[in-house]
Amino acid sequence: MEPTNNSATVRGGAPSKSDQPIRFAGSVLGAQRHVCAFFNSPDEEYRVLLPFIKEGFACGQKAFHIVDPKLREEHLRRLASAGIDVAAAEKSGQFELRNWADAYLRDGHFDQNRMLALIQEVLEHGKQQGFPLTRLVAHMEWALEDRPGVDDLVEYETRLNYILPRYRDPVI
Amino acid sequence: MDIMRTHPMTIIGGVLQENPFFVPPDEFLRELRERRATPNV
Repeated sequence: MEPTNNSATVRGGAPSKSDQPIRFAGSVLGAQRHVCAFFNSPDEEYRVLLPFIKEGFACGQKAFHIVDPKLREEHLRRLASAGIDVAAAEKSGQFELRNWADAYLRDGHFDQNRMLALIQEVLEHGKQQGFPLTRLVAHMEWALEDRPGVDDLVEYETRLNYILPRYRDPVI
Repeated sequence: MDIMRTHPMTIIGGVLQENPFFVPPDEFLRELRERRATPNV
């Protein structure tokens, strides 16, 4: 497969089709796009994720990220360091950043049904906005903490495998 | 490490690969139900 042309500037890249190859972590994503990523350090994490995230912006795709609120500013700084115009992307609707409390931990606890609905809503909304694809990246460190509902996470993740094959959007 | 079994793809050591431990959802949900039905000994 032809690699994606990544020479375009991050802003103003040509819109892509959703079936364009997605390069990620030294490979190309196939039909299975539900990815569990383990990193030893933030530096390793962003070394792997930033080219993937940046390529999505350059291709005119949507980025939906869920982060630890304590690391929100750091996340934005890392995106900006890759040349992503975060403010413009947020304003245009291309980029949406949520804290855990506005996704996995609404009302202070994890509800798998509510979260499954949110993921579908996010992926559908990206399409409705006219984006060919949504690249969803979620930090999951909250699952290592003693949070209410966390015991349902494994069931949620496996049920996600009924939903995600209906979409082409990568979920990391 | 149940969570590893719920993702068809993994990134470990910075490399994307198919996850050999992945279990399809029908099978995994059945296993979860069986675990709940079996009292701990």
